[in-house]
Amino acid sequence: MGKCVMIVDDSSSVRTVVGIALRGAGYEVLEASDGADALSKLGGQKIHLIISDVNMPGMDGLTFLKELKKQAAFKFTPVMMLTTESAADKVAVGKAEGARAWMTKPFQPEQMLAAVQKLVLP
Amino acid sequence: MTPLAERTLQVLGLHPARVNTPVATNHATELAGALCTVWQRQLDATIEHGTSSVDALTKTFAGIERQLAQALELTEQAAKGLKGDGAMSGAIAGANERLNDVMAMIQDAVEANHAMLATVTEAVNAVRELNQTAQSVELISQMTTLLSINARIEAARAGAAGQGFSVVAYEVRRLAAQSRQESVAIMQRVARIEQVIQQAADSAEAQRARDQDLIARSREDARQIVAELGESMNQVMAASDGLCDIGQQTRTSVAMALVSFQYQDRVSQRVSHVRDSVALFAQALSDGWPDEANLEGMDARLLKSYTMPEEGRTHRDEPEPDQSGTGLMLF
Repeated sequence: MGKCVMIVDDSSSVRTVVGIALRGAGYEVLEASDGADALSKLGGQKIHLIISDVNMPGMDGLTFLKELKKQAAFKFTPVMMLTTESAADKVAVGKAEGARAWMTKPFQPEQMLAAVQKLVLP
Repeated sequence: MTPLAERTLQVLGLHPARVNTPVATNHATELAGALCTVWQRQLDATIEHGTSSVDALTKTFAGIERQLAQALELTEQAAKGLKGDGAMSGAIAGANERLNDVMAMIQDAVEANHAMLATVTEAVNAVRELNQTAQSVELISQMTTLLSINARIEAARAGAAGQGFSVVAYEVRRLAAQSRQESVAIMQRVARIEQVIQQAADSAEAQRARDQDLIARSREDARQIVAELGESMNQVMAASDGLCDIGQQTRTSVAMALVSFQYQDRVSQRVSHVRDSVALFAQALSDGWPDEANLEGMDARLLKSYTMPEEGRTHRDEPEPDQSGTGLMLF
């Protein structure tokens, strides 16, 4: 069984596109449509990496990141933000809340997979 | 009227001179408010239709990509099977070896028949020797008959003293005649046996010739079959290599398509921000025509609402920079 990566994005097509790239590289993929949905789906299986959008209705990505890091079980789970946002203040907030990487869309699949390979839990 | 206000009215297609009256201002406000409402609805519909279309297209693409991945996996497995250890080329070599073993067994069987032919030939020779023996016996009986005749002649010459000898000579002659009859019968039977055995030997010899011919033709057929099979396998391997190349090209195309699909997300966000700015403008109009400070405040709020750098550049009518950044920051 491959390592599990959770994708959190309100866009169905983005989740599909990221899922194609990850599954093609042998990862299992778990999808969530926003931060609240993602928090509700934690705990079912070990998650080796989370890829999250920033601008989402309901709970946005930075709030989700903050809530995630409050849980001891996910304190060391790496999170990569994948977003159209590139404002320096938003990036700084993400870094401060514990994100391990910030990637802007559109992403090159091989570049994303290289980052995933580098960040994913052993 | 400030230059900013004039510019705003010009954008709306309203002449400042005609608008700068209380009645005209109310009408313009109503018109602008109505237009903003329509524009918001149109933008919402655009976002919804665009998102649902791209979502459906992405899902269809994902299905096609899965099928391609399965086809490519099968192709790569087949290619590995053709070229790896215990592969088809090895199977052909094994089949060739087994065919050679079968041909060798056939050859052994044929040679066993030939050994039997040799035995038959020996039997023919033995029968001929037997015939010669029978002929010798015939000759001996003839000579014995002559001898008995001579004995009777001498016995007659001996007169009364030779009578007993004459009887013996007569019996010898009778035995010689009997022996001669038996030897004739033996020679006739031996001749018959020799005839039958010779026929068997002739048949075996003819069969031997046919067997050799059949073995030669079978070897050639087997060699040709294995060669044709090898040629077919080479063509299959070449086709498999071609499919693997196409698979790699397809993977590259899929990666490019994945990048293209992501632009829908950016387009959707940009259109959403335009809708929000229309709503902002409609709200500002409902509070009365904005003055210069309010317009500049709106300008600042619009700039702050953007999430992508190019939105700000477009707002300020700045050129797009060279897109050579990696888009990834690791912390």
